Amino acid sequence: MIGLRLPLALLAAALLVGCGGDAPPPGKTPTDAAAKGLDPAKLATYRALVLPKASERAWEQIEWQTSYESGLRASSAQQKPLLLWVMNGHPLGCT
Amino acid sequence: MAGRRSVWSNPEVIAAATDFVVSSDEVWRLQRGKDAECLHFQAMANHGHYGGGGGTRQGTYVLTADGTFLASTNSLDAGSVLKVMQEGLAAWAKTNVESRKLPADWHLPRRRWETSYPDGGLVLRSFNADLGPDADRKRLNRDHAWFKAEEARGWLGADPKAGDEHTVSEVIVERLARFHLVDNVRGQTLPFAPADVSDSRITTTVTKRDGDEVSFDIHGTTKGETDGTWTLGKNDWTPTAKYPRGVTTEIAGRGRFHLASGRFEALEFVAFGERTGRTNLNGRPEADVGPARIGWVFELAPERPAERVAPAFVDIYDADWIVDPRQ
Repeated sequence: MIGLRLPLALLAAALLVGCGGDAPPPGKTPTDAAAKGLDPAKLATYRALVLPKASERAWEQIEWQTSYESGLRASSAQQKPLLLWVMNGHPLGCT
Repeated sequence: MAGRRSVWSNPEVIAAATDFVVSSDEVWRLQRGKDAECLHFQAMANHGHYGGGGGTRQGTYVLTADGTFLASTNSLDAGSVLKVMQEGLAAWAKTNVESRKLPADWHLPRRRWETSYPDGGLVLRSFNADLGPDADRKRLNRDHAWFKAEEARGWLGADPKAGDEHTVSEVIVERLARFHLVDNVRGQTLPFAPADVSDSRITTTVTKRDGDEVSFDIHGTTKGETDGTWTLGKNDWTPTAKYPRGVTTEIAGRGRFHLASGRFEALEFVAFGERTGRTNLNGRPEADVGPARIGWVFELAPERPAERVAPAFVDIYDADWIVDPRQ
């Protein structure tokens, strides 16, 4: 449907150079309708640019119930107080 | 956002949490709804840090199963949350056994959006963040993307062979571009309408076929752009003003699909691009409307309860297999 927009290719190159990764060739010519400036073989490098560090994901170790109602049921069954975190947007999803 | 979840990544909070059942939920419905679950929450939260007045009930609460309020705060500070946990435990010790139980006749037939979780389909979790040297790395967000099995099959052709190139189905591309490749790094935002999406195409190229197992690469581009005119009707997201904005991305990834089982054994892709504009919800100040770099990682969501949380825009997903729990 569309060809590679040069700014995106340059963006990807700039991102990777900035992080010490292998940059796709600047100005690479598209070979078909889909963009091919990013290389699937370099996904690990790309992922590291976005993903949080392990220490920032430690909250995933907690055994979360995912609703108020399921928390109440578990609290009743386990005879433990319920620690409830509620936000605009589900805190375990998009907030 | 990472900033909000940072409290729960604190080692002392994680250790102290073992004395509790820990749960989370979306507060918008709980604080406004009229069903038994919402009223149960409201009666409890009215004793909390925001009192019984109007406004938000966001925060952290300690309570018993019968709804007895024990302690609360709305803080991103681990020390404050630990203090509330300690206060809650002290108050719990003074409660009687009966207050720690749900009433015997407690029954909630209400559905949730999670009831439509696409078992047997494809569930991705996404992470997104600002990129570039000036990006605030403490800010990021996550979400889930749902596709039922028939939709997920659109990543590949009917009988994929090595070297085949396939245009990924429109329903997949549009769902990603409209609802997931949006600027919610700093907070929830607005989706794109179908007419806002253009110049978007994703292709898969089969790199290997071994019996029923198909390995493939992913390439593509997406573009969502609007002058801010809202065309998605009246719903919870309807803004009161125009918010011109746009997101363009380039996508790369790879996957492995098992034809006989119809399951993805692996799937991951990144989307790197540019954002412009802001919305009433997403926390971008006027000084941060771009153009600026933004990136996403999409990967298979692990099979566990916390990964069954519905997509942010599930209520306007345009998927007939999703049952609206409000009806």
